[in-house]
Amino acid sequence: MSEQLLTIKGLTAGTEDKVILSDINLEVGAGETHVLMGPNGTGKSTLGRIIMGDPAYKVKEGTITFDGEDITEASADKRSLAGIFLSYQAPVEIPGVPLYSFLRTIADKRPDLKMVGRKFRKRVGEICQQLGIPESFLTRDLNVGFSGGEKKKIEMLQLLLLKPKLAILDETDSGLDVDALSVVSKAIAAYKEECNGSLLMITHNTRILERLQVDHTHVMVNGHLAAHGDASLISQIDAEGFERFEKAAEGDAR
Amino acid sequence: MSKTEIADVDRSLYDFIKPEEGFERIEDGLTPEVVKAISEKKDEPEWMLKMRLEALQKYHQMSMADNWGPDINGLDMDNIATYVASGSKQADSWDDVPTDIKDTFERLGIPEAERESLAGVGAQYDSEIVYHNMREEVAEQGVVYSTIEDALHEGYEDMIHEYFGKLIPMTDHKFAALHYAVWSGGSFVYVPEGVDMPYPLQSYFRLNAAGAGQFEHTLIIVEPGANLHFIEGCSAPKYYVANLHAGAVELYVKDHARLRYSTIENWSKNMYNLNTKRARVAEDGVMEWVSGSFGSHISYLYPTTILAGDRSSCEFTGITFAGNTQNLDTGCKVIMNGKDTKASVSTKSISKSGGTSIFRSSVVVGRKADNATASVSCQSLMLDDISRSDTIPAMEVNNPTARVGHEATIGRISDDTIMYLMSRGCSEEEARTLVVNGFANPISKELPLEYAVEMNNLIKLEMEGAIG
Amino acid sequence: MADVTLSKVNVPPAQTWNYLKINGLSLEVPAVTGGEGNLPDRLTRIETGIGDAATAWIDSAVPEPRLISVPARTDLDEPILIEVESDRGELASTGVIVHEGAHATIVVVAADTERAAAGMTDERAAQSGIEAVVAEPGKAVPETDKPISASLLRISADRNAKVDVYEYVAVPTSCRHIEGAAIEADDDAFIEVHQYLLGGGTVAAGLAVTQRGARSSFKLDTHYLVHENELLDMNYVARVRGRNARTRIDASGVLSDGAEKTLRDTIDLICGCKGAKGDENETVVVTGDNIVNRSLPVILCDEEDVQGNHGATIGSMSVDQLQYLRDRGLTTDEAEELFGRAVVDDAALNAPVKAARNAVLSRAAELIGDEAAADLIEIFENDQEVGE
Repeated sequence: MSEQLLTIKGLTAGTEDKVILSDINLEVGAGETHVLMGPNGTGKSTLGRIIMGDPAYKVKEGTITFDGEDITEASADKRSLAGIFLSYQAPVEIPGVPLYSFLRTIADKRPDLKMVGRKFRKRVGEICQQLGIPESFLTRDLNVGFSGGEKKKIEMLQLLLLKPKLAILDETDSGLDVDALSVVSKAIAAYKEECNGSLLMITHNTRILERLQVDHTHVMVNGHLAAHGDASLISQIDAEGFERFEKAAEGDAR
Repeated sequence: MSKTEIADVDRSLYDFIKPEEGFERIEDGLTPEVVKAISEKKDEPEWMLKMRLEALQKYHQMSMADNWGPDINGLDMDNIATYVASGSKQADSWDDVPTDIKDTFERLGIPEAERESLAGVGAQYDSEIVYHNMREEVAEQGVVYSTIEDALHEGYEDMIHEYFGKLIPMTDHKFAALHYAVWSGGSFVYVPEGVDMPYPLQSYFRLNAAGAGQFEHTLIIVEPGANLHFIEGCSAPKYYVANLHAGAVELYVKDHARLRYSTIENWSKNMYNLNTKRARVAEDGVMEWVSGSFGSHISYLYPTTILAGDRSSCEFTGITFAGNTQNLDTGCKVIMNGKDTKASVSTKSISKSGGTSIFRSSVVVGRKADNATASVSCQSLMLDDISRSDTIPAMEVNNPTARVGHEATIGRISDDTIMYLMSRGCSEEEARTLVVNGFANPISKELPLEYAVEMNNLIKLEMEGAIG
Repeated sequence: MADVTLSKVNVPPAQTWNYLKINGLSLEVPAVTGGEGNLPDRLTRIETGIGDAATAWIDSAVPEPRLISVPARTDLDEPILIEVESDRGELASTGVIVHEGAHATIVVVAADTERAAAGMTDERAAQSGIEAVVAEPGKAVPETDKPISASLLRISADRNAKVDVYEYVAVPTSCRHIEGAAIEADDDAFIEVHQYLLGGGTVAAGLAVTQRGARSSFKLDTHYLVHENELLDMNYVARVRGRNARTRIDASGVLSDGAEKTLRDTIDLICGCKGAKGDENETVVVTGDNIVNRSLPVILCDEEDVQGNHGATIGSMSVDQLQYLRDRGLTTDEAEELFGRAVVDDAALNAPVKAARNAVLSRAAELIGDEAAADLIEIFENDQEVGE
């Protein structure tokens, strides 16, 4: 189906010595919002990292197609430039690299974002204002000494700057205080509105989803996609938890 | 994560050789005749010749320690020319500098830097200073910036006799003795009491001749309450024979005076860099070192600060980048003798492509240094598993009220860091360069802008294998 | 007997400027004969921390080294106890092979054993007629005339073996001692060493561990108190070869008046030890005047995928610490004494066998004063159960 932005077919993957994901099939259309839920440690984040192209994981079977191209073997930077963005659960700290220089570097890699310094500065300033991020953050080293919430805000700043076609938000909402959560919500809303991009939300928390128009919900249990549904699945999970899916998965295993 | 192959560095920026035609080259080897010839050429006072001959004798008697330090067996002193000079007169206008030599410094950006941001420039080509100039308003304040040879003839003989060779004795080590036997060129700087130099002075040392040594002597006296920033740059083209650099830098920082000494050293990779630098700081004086070591085949380099006066302080900020064929043994020494003295040492080292980087330091707190405080921090980055990075810091505390802290880390660029940057669109090579530049950033921040740019370029060169 | 000079005792793998006098220790020792070094090769080939000359000297002096083999998957009920009588200049050489999955506890006690046996202070020893070796007032015994004792312990730990080592050195100022150890750790071996170095005129403690096994773990925890006019010289070397090996060297101690101490600790991360982590940590509290404190914390590294860290804090108590203790009613002197006392208390309380504890108690009065020592002795007076 060519209108799909992301197509994952029969994906089995894991680390060198361990299979984590088995036979994953997933399709995300342009502009759609997907939610991937499931208990801790079932492989949700791994799926996000594999879509991004993390070499710590190996694809054993299956293919990943993005925007009509097979990217199964592509390196992470190629995928990034093609329009995939992964917001990390715990973004790394890079001492000595100021946030602003970093933003400038990654924007310069994208022909449609290349602009003169003054214009770029203005654009970054606008996003900061939009999200309520203090501009003083820009001169500080990337993620160094920032709180968990502040790091997530910086991830959101990059999301709005880079305007990817697909944004994968890995537990972006977890462990945040009210202020940071509202910045993240604002950023997601702005991303949908300004870019009409596709969204894959990885979460086990349903609060953040309340304000979103969710198109599809997927449940992952033990490395399998155990259930698919629409937005109504979220409220079911909210009420009942994952037990039902876990039991079903156990049953399958027997 | 698999490593990107990084080719050897294209140093074409530094790697050009000029012909040596018409140059005076004193025969290779080390004899009293060679020393006398150098002295005679410089028309020196008797005491200087005596000192040279004594030093030569010491040089022949002394040996290098054999239980530590990189191997210098590749250095055959019988094949090193101790004196090479173009024969042209020292100029105070670039127009009067011979074309080849002028072109060299143009390519290194020296005249341009002089116009833009320096109070004075000295340029040494092989054994002699070929250009020396200082802004008039600085000269009017009584600042002296010349060669030691000129200063000896221009009324500063007594002062030089008093200070020259006193901080670094000729017996310091074998190559200090050699230095005093054959020294030539370098700088003499005198900043009178209370004079605050608004712009830095800069000396640039270029060793063009193959199989030669450079033995410049820098003597700086910063009188009470005065303030100076001195910049030293060095480079050389690559040869397949060994070159030697055995300079000496003696710095006197008087009461309440302040001196910053910045160096970006980028000798070619056939250079044996056995340089000695030492500062003595009087009461309330401040000494700051900024030191970047990128070049040379072998380095032994440990700028030393003697905090002699009460409340004197020093800061040492250094970076060493050791690549293929390099063994760079660098660091610093601090001797704390005054009360309430403070020392802060912060270094970074990077090892790559089989290079060896050794951080070596010593902090000695004397018996009388009540309440001295010292902190030493060194971070090392390993970029592959064929390189080497050692940290060998020694501390000796002889005063019970002193406080000394030390921390060191050795590590690599984590896969997560590379992955994060790649997920934002950087290639692996760009990601590595970005992280290494970030690692070096605390040092480049301490450098004047054009040097910070040069340093970032050097890192980029090392990481990419070509000028971008 | 003619004296010989052991010139390179406690030599660290990486040397530095010789004028710093930190590259090793020189000891005058009596010439010895009679030792044949009949320990198995797998033990004698292990690097010791005390240097080749001192190792050879001990090996050539001990006619019958003790060899203990702990069979696979056994857990020794009793600790292996090595006692060295310092005042008689006793020399001991011990080899322990801990086979796969076995567990052994080894205790070395170097002390004036006669006094230690009685668990006595000088004062009490004098009362019971045991003569304490004390120099004539105002006339120090030259260092080279002091008797020198030594223990050299070699341990080879097979896969999954677990070894706990306790070294108690509490010899009087009138004696010298060499405390040597050589340890080799195979895959998943787990070694923990606890050292309590409580003095002697000159004490050289040298330990080297070769972590050739993957996931092997080595932990050294050294506590020391250097008393007036005593010299403590330590050299610790960890050769890390195995993948994902873990190494930790912690040394903390107190220097009182006129104390001299040298600590060299080296973690050598050797190419191939991917995933290894090494940490060194040093804390020195200076409570007296005229001290000399030398430190050489070295990390050698030719492997990329490793982490090496070192931290050191050297100095008198911080103003904050002192203020806190003053707020609790202590004078500056009392606050400083507290640090020394803590080391001695800790040594006594953690003693795995009675001999070790008695060694501590025998020096307690000298180290922390009669009153504090009496306090400590009282705690243990009726307690015979330790280590059982």
